[in-house]
Amino acid sequence: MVDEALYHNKLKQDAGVIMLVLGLLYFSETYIVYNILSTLWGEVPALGTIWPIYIVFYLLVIGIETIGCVRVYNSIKEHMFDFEYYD
Amino acid sequence: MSENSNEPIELVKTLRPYHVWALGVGIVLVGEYMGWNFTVAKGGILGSLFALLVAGTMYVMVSLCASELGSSTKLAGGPYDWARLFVGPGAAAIVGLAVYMEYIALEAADAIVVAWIAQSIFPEIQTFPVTLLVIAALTFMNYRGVVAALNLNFALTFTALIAIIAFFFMNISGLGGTWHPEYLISGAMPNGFIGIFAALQFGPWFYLGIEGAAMCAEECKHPTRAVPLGQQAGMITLLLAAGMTLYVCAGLIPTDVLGVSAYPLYEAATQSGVKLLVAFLAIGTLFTCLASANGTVCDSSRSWFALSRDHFLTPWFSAVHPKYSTPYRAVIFTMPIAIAFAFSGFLDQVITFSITSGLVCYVMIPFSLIRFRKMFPEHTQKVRPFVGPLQPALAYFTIFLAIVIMSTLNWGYSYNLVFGLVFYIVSYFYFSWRYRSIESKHDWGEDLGWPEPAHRR
Repeated sequence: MVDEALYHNKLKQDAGVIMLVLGLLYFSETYIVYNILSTLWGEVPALGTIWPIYIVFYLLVIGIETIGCVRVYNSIKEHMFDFEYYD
Repeated sequence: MSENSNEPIELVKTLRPYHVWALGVGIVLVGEYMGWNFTVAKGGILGSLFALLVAGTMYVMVSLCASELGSSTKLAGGPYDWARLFVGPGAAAIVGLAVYMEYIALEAADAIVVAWIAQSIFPEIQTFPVTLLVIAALTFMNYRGVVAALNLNFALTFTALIAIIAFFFMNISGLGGTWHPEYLISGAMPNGFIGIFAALQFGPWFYLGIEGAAMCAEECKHPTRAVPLGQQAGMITLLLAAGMTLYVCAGLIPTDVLGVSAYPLYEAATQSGVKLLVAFLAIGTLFTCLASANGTVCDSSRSWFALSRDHFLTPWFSAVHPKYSTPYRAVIFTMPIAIAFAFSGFLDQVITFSITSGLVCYVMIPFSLIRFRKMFPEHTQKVRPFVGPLQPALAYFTIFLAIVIMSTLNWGYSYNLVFGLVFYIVSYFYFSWRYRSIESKHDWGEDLGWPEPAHRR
């Protein structure tokens, strides 16, 4: 017999880990990209032409990783009782 | 295909998500401690940031493809097994060889760097015996058992990662040295737009090998949870570490020095003037080399084991140790090959061959996923317990980015690129000719418990 309370608690722990690392990722990538580009803004004229490429790839990294993590969470939630993940 | 062997081939299933994380990050984190800074030499700080973001996008997508394929097949060969099942024997052979070459070359490089560090601390010792000792010790660890080896990796990797995070937060809070904006401005893009584009060739250094995390799927207790969770956590960790490393190094070391530095993070710590950070980053550099070498022994031996189990090589290598449940012959055989690479004397060329091999994998992994989705379109629990997002669009985009990055090797490493591609093309046609019967004999129900693929129903 599966202990449902234990399973939901463990699932919350998994979600917590994912939220924590995603939060760190948002903070650090935003901080780094913003600081480097803003430091060079005005000093490097070519940056005025190419900055959108940096923003596009920054959004791609953050966006795809976030969607991927949501999928991982949903997958664990869907299969945790069938595969008895937390026994 | 494996029933011809007289020896048991079951691997022990004990690994958890943090082991998957440790295997993936352990192999790759060394790239933050050294090597990534060649992007600065090519394209300055803007080139390095561009390479970090473009390569990061490609690796996020590769790791999502690897999560879906690894949690579905649950086999030790990783990319090799995916290509064998969904593409064909020729593709399987080149992916198996590419993974093997990628990791063995990394192991050799890591062992040499450990020997250099040891020599810098104790100038009287020679690098030759230390390199041998490191390779032998890590081979023995992997021979004894995968859990012990990956527990060691977890401890080493975690320490090295904490060193980077501590350095970053101490720096931005003003406790870890003075960050110099003028260093960024003077070295923003020394070689113009071409330099920024050429920097992509070293972009994979930030993340090279993360797909290896899925290669322990066959030894996971719950691969359908451990592989996606461990793989994604590992990918996020690398994105964090890569960004933090670029930021602190760019502001603490002038770009002309940074572009040629052997140990950029350690050098940045030295520039900070904080003794605690210097000691911490020295330990981190040593630990991350050991963790990377340890992880590469694990992954390269699994690839060799899988090639042997399917008779691409002699089946002798597919034996599993009766006591430790490890593919011990494949593990031991990594040692002479790594030693041969280590003493070839052309490490930069070997490493470029490793990158080329990795990029071959990054074309074949998403291509395997595209084929997998076509052959088994149903999202059932048995066939596809983890369904990756936005597929197959992400797989096509991954292939495009891998080819673009591969094309940038033309600036400075054109011979390596041509040699690598010729090697893999010849291998493809040779193994396709020799093993063309494998695909037609494959029994999906017996091997994986799956229904027949859509085109055979």
